[in-house]
Amino acid sequence: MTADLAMMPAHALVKLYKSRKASPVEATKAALARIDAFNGQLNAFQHLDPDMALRAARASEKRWRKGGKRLSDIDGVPITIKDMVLTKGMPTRMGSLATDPDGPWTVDSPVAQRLREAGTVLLGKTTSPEYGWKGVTDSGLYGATHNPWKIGRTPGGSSGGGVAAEAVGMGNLAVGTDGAGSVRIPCSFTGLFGLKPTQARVPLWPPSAQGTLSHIGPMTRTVRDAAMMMNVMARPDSRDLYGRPDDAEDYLKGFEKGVKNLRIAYSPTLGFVERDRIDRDVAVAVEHAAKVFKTLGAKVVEDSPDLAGLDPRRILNAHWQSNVAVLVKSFSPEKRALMDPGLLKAAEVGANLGQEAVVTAIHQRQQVGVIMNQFMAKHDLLLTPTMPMTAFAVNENAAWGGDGIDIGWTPFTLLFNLTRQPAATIPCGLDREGLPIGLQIVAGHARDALVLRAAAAYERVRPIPAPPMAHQI
Amino acid sequence: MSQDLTQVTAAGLAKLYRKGKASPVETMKAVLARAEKVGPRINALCRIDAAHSLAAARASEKRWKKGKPLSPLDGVPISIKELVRVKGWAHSMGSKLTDKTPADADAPAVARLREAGAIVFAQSTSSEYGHKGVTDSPLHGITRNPWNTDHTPGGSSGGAGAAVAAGLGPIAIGTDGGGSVRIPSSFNGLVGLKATFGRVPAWPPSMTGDLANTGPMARTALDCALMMNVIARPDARDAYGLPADETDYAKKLDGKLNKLKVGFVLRLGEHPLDIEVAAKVTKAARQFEALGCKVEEAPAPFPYPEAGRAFVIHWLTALQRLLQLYPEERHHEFDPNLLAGAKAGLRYSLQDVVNAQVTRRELAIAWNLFFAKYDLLLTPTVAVKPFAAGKNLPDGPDGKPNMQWSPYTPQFNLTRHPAATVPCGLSSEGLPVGLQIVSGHYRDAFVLHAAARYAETHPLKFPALPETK
Repeated sequence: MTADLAMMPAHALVKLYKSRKASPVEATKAALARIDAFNGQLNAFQHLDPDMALRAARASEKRWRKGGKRLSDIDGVPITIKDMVLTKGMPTRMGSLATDPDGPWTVDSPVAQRLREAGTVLLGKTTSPEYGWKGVTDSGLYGATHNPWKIGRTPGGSSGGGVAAEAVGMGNLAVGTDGAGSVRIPCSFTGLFGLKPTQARVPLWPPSAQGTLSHIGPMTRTVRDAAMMMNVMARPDSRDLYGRPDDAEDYLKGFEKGVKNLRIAYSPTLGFVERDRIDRDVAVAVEHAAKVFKTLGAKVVEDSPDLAGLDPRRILNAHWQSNVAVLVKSFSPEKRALMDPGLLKAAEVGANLGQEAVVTAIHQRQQVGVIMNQFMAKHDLLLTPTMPMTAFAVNENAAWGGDGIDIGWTPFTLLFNLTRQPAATIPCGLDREGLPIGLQIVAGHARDALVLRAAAAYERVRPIPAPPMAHQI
Repeated sequence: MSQDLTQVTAAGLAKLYRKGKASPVETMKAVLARAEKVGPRINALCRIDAAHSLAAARASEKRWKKGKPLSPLDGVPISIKELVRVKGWAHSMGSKLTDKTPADADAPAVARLREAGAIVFAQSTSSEYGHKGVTDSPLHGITRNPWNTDHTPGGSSGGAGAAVAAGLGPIAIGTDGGGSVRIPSSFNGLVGLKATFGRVPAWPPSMTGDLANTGPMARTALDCALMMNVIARPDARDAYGLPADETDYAKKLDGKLNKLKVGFVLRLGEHPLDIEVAAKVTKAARQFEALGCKVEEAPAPFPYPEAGRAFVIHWLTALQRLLQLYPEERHHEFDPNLLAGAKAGLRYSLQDVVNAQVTRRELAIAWNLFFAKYDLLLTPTVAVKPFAAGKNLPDGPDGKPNMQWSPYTPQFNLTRHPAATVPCGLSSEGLPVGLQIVSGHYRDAFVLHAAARYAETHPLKFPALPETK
C-alpha cells in the first residue's frame, strides 16, 4: 500500500485522505521509504529533513481528520523544492560551494510560502548545478544526479534533482525553475510533465541573476497535478517586481474541455533549428503527437514563425552570459576558486561580450517577442519538440560534446524564456534506447490554462508512463 | 454656438454632440482655426491634416445624428506625438535622420483611437527621439509653453502638452520613458498618466525598451479615463502587453477615497526642490486628508543616487544604439545633446549595464513593499517650475545647470508603477505646478480616481492660451 501512495498522483492521493483510506503521514513515510531505496543511486537531494516532513504531515493529518478544514486541495501532499528556491528552515545553497552553509534560513520565497500555507509536506531540497547554470545536473557541492530511466545518463537540468525524485515517487509533486529550459529539459529527459508558466505568473523572489528569463514551475507525473499546483503557486506576492495582476484563475476550470476546433501550429524546427541537429526518433515521435491532436479534433497545420534572421540562441546566450559575468564577480576570489570551472568560463565569455552586444540582444529580444506574439494571434497553440535529443551521459556540460557556455543545444525551450510565453512539455514516446521524448506545447501570454487543457487532452489518450525503476520496490 | 468648442473637454464634447448642441464638424473647424491663429506662437503641431480631419468629422457627425457613435471619443480631435506611428505620416521623431517615408501602419493606440471614432488630426512635436525633458529638435525647432511662451512646455511630449493647453484638441497621445508624459502635463496644467508598463500596448518597440510607455494627456482625469478605455486594449504586436482587462476607467472615477493610506514623499533624496513647488505639493497632500485619507510623511524607500544612476545607465546605453543605426558622417545632424548622451552611453561597461538592471530590480521591490503599506504615493511631479524655452536644463540654486530637475518621474519608469500628474496650483508667475500620484502595479484606474477626486476640489481654471500679453 505505501508504495502505491508514493507513486499516486496528488489528485488521487487527496481523495484517499478525504475518504480516510490514507493519511498524509502514511504518504510521507511512503515517500521517505522510496528516498531510502533510490536516492543512493540517483543523488537527487541537496538536503532532506524527514523530521520536519513528518511534523508537517501529522499537522495535515489532524486537519483532514477534523474534516473540511484542509488548507487547500493539496494539503498533506509530499513535495520537493529545487535548491534554487529559498525555504525557511532548510538551507538554500544554489548548488554552490561558494554560498554560506550556515544561513540563516529564516525566510520563505513566495512559492515556498504559498505551498506551506497550502499544507503541503516539504521533504527536502533537490539538486541543481551551481546557480542553475547548465541544462544538466552536477555540482561541486553534491556531485552528479542520475536519470531514473537509465543510471549513467543525465536527468537533464538544471532542475534535475526535482525530476529524478518525482519520476520514482520520492515526493508526489516537485517545484523547478526555468531560465532557458530548466524545467522542460529535465521533464523531457525523465518523461514527466513540466510547465514553465507565463513569466511572473508564479511570483519569484529574491530576484534571479537571470532577471525576466527566470521562471518557476511545477514538475509532475500528471497534468492535473500541475494544475492543482498552479492554483496554489500562481498567486501574487508584492516581493515580485514583475508580478502579474491577480487573475484569480482556477487552472482546473475548463481543464477537461479538450482541443476540439483549436487552431494548432505544428513546427518541427521553429523556423531556425537545423533539421540534422534533431534526433530522428524525436522528430518522428513529435510529428506523430501532432497527428494525435488532429484525431482529437484540433485544426493542426504545419507552420513556423519567421524570425527575420534573428537567432534566439545568440540572443539568449548574450543575456545569460552577461548576467553570470556579474553574478560571478560578486564573489570574492577565494569563493570563486570553489566554483564550477564551466560557470567561470561562461562568466569570462560574458564579461568580454561588450555592452553594445548586450544592449542589442535586449532590443532583439523585444523584436522576437513581437514576432511570436503575432504568430500566436494566428494560432491558439504551438507544438514543437521539447529537446532535439534524449538523455545523454552524466558529467557532460551539454549535449553534442559542448561546454555548456553556448546554450544553443536546447533551442526549442529557450525561445519561450525570451518571449515569456507559457510552455509545457509532456512525454510523447520513447527512443530506440527506451528513453523518454518530450513534446512542447506553447500558447500566447497568460494562456497557461489553455496549455494545461491541451496537455490534459493528450494525456487522456497517451498516459504518462513511469520509469521501470519506479516499480523496483 | 456661444461656447468656444476649443475649450471644451472630450467628455463635454460628447455631451454636446449627444444633445445636438454641437457637431464634430464645428469642433474640428474651431480647432483648425485656432491652430492657424495660435499655432505659430507655440509650435506644438508639426503636421495638421485638415482635409482628412474634416472628412472624418463629417463621418462622425453622421454617426452622432443616427445616435450611433463608436465611443464617447467619437468626433473628438486628438493629436499624436511624432514618436508614435501614424499611418500615412512620417514617423519623424524630431530627427533629420529618420526615414520620412509615410508609415504603412498605425501604432496600437492610434489604431484603437480611430476605431473609436476619434479624429487623428495632427502630429505633435517632440525632442529628438524623446531623449530630453524639454521640446526642441533639429527638425522642428523650439516648442513653447502656452501659459507663457518664453517658457518650455517641458518634454519630451511638449507638443502634446502645449496643444491641449492651447485648445488644439482636448486630448493628446504622448509617450513617457522617464517622465515625458508627466513633465509636460505638469508644466501645462494637465492631467497625464504613465500607466503600468504593458497596460497600453505599443509598437514598434521603443529604443528605450521597457522604460517607454504610451499615455494619455488631457485637461481632466475623466478625459484620460475615456482615453484609457480605448487605448488600453490588447494588441498582438506588443511583446509585453498585459492580458485584456475590461476595466471601465471612467466608471472607476466615482466614489470617495475613504480611509486610504497615503504616503507623502516630498523629497526622494538630496536633490534641489523649488520652494513654491514644495509648498503647493505639501498643501495638496494635506488636501487628501480632507478627502478622507490618512496621510503620512514617509521616507523614500531606496537610496536616490543609486536609483538615479541606474536610470541614467539604462537611458544612455539605449541611446548609444543610435550611433550604430546611422552612419557616422551624419552624426552631426543629431541634436548635440543627444549625440553627447549617446556617446556617453558607449562609455559604460557591460558590468555597469547589468548592475543597473540589478539596481532596477531592487528599486522595484522597495517600491512594491511601499505600496504593500500605502495605497497611494504623493510627490511633486517635477522639482522645478517651467523654465526658459530653448534650454536643456534649468539653472540650479547654485547658478549651475541643474541636472536633477526631474528626480520624481524616472523611478516609476524603472519600477513600471502607474503614475499620474494632476495640477495643484499656479506659481507666483502664473505657471502650473503638478502633483504626482503613484500606486501599486495595475492600479491605473485607482490612480486616475484619486486624481479626479483631488481635481474636483481644486479645479484649475484654464484661461484661453496663449494669453495675449
